[in-house]
Amino acid sequence: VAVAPVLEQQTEPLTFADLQGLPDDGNRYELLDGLLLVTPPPNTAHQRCVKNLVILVAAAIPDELDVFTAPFDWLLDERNVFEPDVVVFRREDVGSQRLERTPVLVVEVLSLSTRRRDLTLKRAAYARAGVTAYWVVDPDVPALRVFEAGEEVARVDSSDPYTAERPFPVTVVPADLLA
Amino acid sequence: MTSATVALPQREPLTYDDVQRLPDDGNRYELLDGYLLVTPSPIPGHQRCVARLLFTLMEAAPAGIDVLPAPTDWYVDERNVFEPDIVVSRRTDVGERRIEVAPLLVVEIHSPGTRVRDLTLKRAAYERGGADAYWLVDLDGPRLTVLERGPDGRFAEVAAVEASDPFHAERPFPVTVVPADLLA
Repeated sequence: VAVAPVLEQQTEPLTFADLQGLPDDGNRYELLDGLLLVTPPPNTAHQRCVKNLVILVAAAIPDELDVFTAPFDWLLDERNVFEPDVVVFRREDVGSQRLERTPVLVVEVLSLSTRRRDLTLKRAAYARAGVTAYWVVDPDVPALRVFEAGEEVARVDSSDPYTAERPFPVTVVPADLLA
Repeated sequence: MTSATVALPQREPLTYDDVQRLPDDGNRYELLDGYLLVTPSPIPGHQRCVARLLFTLMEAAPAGIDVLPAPTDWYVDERNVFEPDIVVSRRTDVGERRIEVAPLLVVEIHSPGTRVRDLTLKRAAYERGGADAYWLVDLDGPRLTVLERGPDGRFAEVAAVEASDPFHAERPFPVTVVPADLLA
């Protein structure tokens, strides 16, 4: 059991400044249009997927791109702050504390509590923000779903490879992400 | 920044019992699929609207129907617990601690900052939860949007009225609502 803070009584909507007092306690704190979303830490399969994705992506990206994992804030605007599981962005776009420009790739690995949110709200929010590609990994299948501008453009299961062209060339095999 | 600390378990999904341990500190804590939604205290205009609508509904409600303001827990399942601004249920469906039967009507009053929550998250969650009707009041306008459950089990928009246009509801009981009056 960890200790999580409660926000001092505020009036809505919350802004980025309200997030600043929250601790690094393993929970994921995100703002969606001023609403605070608190997500407990993910499980082992989720983290294994994240790790394998980062290894894969780090080897594939060109020099001008970089890849980070959560917790790392992407400040879309004052009322929208996300911590994607994996985010790929131009090196020149990142500040010392957070990302304030639109990343080229965002990846969310589904978990029991985030499954629906990742496929609906985040899909819409990331498309609105202009992310080039949004990948959703479902560790239970395993499967990779690829969205561009909010539309699903590819879906591969198990040992079927997905060969991406955008935002950089890379081949992903869902089953390998769980290895 | 922080005024209190609470214990949240470091695992997902969170459940109803986890939410029960959160303090009564003015924030609204809800569970959606097992993650926590935190909404800070509403603005006075929001509360004025709640009070007016509560009064209108209570005046019109037949015997045996409860009209309750937040915070009233609507427990859908262990991972989904909501506190609508107003919930209308049969009194026999209201338990001692929470409502466990799908309400006849849930109402959310939104300001610009909570539109997405109410129009997307809450709409989907309340539809899944089985509410028979969902009213959304937008303080800008003001505007009342009425969603009712159709034969297919999905919410359909049956009315949207603004300012001094009246809405004559049949569900959950006959009542007339005029958006402008909710802010007066």
